[in-house]
Amino acid sequence: MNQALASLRGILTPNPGWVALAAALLLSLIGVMAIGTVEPGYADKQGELWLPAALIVMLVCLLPHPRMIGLVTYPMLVGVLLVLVYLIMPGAPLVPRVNGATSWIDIPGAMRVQPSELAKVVFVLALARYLRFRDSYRTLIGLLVPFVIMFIPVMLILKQPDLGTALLFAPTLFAVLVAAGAKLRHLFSLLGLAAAAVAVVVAICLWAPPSMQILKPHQQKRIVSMVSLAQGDTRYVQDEGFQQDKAMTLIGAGGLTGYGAEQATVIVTYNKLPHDHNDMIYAVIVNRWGLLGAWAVMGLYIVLVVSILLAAGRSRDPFARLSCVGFAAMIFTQASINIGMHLGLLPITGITLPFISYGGSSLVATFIMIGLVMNFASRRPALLSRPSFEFDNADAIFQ
Amino acid sequence: MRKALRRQVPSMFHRRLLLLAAVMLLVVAVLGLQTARLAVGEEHRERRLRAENALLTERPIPTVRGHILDRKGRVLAHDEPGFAVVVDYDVITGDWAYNQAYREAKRAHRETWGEMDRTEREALVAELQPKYDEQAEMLWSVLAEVGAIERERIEARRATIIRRVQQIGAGHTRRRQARMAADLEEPVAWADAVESVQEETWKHAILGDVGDATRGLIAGFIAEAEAEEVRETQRRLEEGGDYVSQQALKVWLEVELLRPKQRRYPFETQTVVVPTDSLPSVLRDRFEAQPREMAAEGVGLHLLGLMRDIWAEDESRRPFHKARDRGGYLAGDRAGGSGVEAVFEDVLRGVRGWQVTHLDTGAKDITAPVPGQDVTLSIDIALQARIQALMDPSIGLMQSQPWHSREEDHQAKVGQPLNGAAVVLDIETGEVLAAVSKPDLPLRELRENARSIYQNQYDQPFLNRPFVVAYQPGSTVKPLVLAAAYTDRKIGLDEIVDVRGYLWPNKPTVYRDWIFKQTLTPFGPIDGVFAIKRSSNVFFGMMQQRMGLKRLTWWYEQFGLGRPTGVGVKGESSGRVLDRTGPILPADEAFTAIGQGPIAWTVIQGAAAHAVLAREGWYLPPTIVRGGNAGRGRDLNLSSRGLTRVLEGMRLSASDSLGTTHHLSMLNREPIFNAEGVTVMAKSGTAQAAPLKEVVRYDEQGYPAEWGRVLRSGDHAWVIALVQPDGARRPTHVIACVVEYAGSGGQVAGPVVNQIIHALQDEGYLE
Repeated sequence: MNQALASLRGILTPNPGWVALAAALLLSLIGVMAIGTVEPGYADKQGELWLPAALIVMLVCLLPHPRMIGLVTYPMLVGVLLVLVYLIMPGAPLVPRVNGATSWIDIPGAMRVQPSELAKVVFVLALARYLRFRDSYRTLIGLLVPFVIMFIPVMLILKQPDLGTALLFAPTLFAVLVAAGAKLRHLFSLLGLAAAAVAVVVAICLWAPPSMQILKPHQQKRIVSMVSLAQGDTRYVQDEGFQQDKAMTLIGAGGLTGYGAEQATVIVTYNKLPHDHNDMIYAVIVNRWGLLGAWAVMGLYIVLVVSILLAAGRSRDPFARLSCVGFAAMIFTQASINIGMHLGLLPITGITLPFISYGGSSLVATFIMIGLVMNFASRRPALLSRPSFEFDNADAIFQ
Repeated sequence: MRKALRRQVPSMFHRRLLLLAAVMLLVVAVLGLQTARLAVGEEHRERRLRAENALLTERPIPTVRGHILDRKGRVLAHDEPGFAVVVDYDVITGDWAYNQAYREAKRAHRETWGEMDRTEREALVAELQPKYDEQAEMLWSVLAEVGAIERERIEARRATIIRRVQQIGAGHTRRRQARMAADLEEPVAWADAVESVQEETWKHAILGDVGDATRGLIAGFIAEAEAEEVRETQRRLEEGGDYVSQQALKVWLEVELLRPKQRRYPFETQTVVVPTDSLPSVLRDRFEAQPREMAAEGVGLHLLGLMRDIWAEDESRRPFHKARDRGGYLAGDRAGGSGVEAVFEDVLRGVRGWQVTHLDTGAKDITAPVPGQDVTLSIDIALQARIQALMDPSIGLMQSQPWHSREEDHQAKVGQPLNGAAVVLDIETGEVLAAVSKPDLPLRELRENARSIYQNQYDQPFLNRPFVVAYQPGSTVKPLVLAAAYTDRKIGLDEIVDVRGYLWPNKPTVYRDWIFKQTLTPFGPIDGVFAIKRSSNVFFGMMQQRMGLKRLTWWYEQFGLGRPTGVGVKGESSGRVLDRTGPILPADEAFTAIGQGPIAWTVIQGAAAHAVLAREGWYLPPTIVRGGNAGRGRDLNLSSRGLTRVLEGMRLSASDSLGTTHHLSMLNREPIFNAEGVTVMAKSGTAQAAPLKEVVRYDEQGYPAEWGRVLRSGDHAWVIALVQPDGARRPTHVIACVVEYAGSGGQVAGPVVNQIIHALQDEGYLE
């Protein structure tokens, strides 16, 4: 009882978690309004069903002690991986193929959930759990296990296929490893290799003959159309480049202050922007509220991410620290990729804008992260907790 | 720096957090700046324009082509004020049913649509599509029934429209592909350049020229469909997502009744009464002097011309541009293909209006079309019809007759229809009152199988003979030569010239007078008036020798030969005169003065040149436009006393019993001209002509490259007459007529000209 009261007192004490929650709520409200611009029915559902549900789940996440969460992390990881395996099993019951992907599970009589969203949360927790007391990852070979932890869910998710979600794992892993004190030269070397690999893939996509292509045809076309659009070449605007071109057009048309709700509805509707209420919601935001609105949204993301990092910084618990960093990185990466593809900086892929896009699973998953961050931020550090991830000056923390 | 940071932030973890935060801020800065790049400045303006353009649909509003009127204000050509039934292109292609089914399926499964894969969606669409297919089928059946045409013709029309739009699309893609390849400096695949064209969003005519009853029926269907749509919308609002469309007439919302651009020629077929009492006796007897009622077909069509589908050249000459030139050509347009329709294309065409529909508000910005201007011709369509009728072979004048020449000289098989041309010119104004080309354009063949007309080498009915065919003029040039010789003082006004039977002493069989040829008797000492009356070749050969060929050619040029008259007809021939700067062939010596050798003129050139004689030396270019000659013309400074003698010679030629244009030799010398109240001054001509041969091969440019058998041969028969009503100070009208490969000028063309004089009188001229 005393412990519960202490938890409650901790939660109510002002901390960066509250700031993160405020930012998340504001982003969610903006999302509901933006969705309402183009799909009022979906906005109602988001505001009246998914957002309350996500908040309830978030509240549940406030309750367990971080230690308890750490204990159940690996079983949860196993459970999630099993579900991901189930998703890719041919003919698995309750697994519909939606837009060519088996990313969903139908819960009869209830809802349709996307396990990869939960996998994002569990992956961060598992990574944090693994890294919390180790220093093995400060060697190159020691990075192997964290990468394996990433690759298993990534491969399963890619198999669905859901490239957008899979893309989030690697940057998150890098961020967590950076925070955990992995040697930067190792990480930058790996990053350089990854960048080189991406460059090779893009080069092959652009210039190699069809027989040498690695990517699937639709992925090749997306890259080619993105490069073409960036060069002012409009040949793909009617097909592969249509979605990106429309998004850029609507963003550009929004100007400094946007069209306002009524006119933006008309403009977006008649421009026939695909997925305007979920993946492409950023275009709707800029069209409605303009550049100022876009910067406001980016500002909120910065507030959200920085407050989560602050929570990490204030925490002494290595598991909580790395979990917070992981969540911040996951949310930030997702938002950056989504906005980047709107702006013609990245090819189009199926990925939502956190807190804003329509979708129950995505919203619940991100609010789970917020709930966990608030949970971690509200815990008082143990009196004798040892410094974590201070590899170059172990005493510094006590100075 | 690093040490300072370490001092400031001793915790490695916190420094790493700062590093992450810095990277994140950097990324956000890039994203923020890129958003700003798109949303401000030129990029913003361009994209705003593009985004807002999606709210607009634009379509042209057809204009009305100008009327063509005759000199008395009768409408010779106009756009038909009827109605056409137009149907949306998607319905024509069959895509409409699928699209409707797709929309309905999506609406009905709105909540789950985004989560379905393609197969699931297509299954739902397939369930709904048959009812829309049935509607489309019903539409075509109803249109066939109310339009009273076979269903196959509807299908053929649909296929034609689809083919045409696809061709337009292919052309557009081809141009876009070339443009993109030029911009990108690399080859562009066809698939990358494909883009939909406006025509795919338009409605196209399935039934043209529908009557009031049909129009009423179709309007009824459309009205019922609109009412059904209103009821359906109400039901949709009430039933929400569970709504299933029950519309049975929805397809009729894609149908419209539009005013078409059918070009009509109301006077193209006329019933004409041809008097026969003034015909040569044998013909008069055949008709028992009773007026003959007959249908003149294709009246004035050679002159008025026809419309055709546009060519690439039209689009290049005047491309459509919605801001700069809405009168420019768009795919599917029609343009004047020949005659006045072609020459006055830019005047008649008009400028389209433009309608911009704001999809969000339904508001329409309309720029009204500017109708084409009317063109008033100098033609009298009633006179034209009369002449066309009297030149019908069934009357007998344009038919080879036994009395056209002696049996041994006969050049065409008796009874064979003859081709030719006639022009009537108002001398005062230079305006063409009538210009007839024979044979007529066969209307039915023209509309159903025009190609066959162009392949008819024997009759060449497509030729607008008065203007585009140059004939050697024969003796009809002699009055011009005499007028020039008098003016140049190469012969005195009363000078007597001793005319032997032949020109060149050592060649008595080469260049001789017709009377010498027949009787070996020379004309002897004669003056210019006699030379015209009796048409002495040797006299005019001597005139040419006195003047020199180059000077004579210069005079011909003054009379308008050697260049198009600018009458206002497409493809007008310039005729032919000697190149005065080039060498002179011995064979050309002396022949030019009698209308042989290097000289040829069109009927209109001949009429215009002879009008100069009546106009006291004033050259006025002929025109087919009413009032088209204001302020034009030039004085040739011809000797007025010489002109008096020339006209006297022509008068005697037509009225003196010894005149070559006076009588029909084989019909008991009955006079050629028998109209009361007028004085006729005429000159006949019998011009040797190259035979008409069949073309068996054309070169790559479409010019004849190889000839086969002879189709027609013989002499062209000419008469050019100046007609002066009693009481008039000088002739008021000139009539020129040529009959191809027909023989003696006076015998063949003379009676035609005589009938034209009667026709003029019947139409109120020559009073």
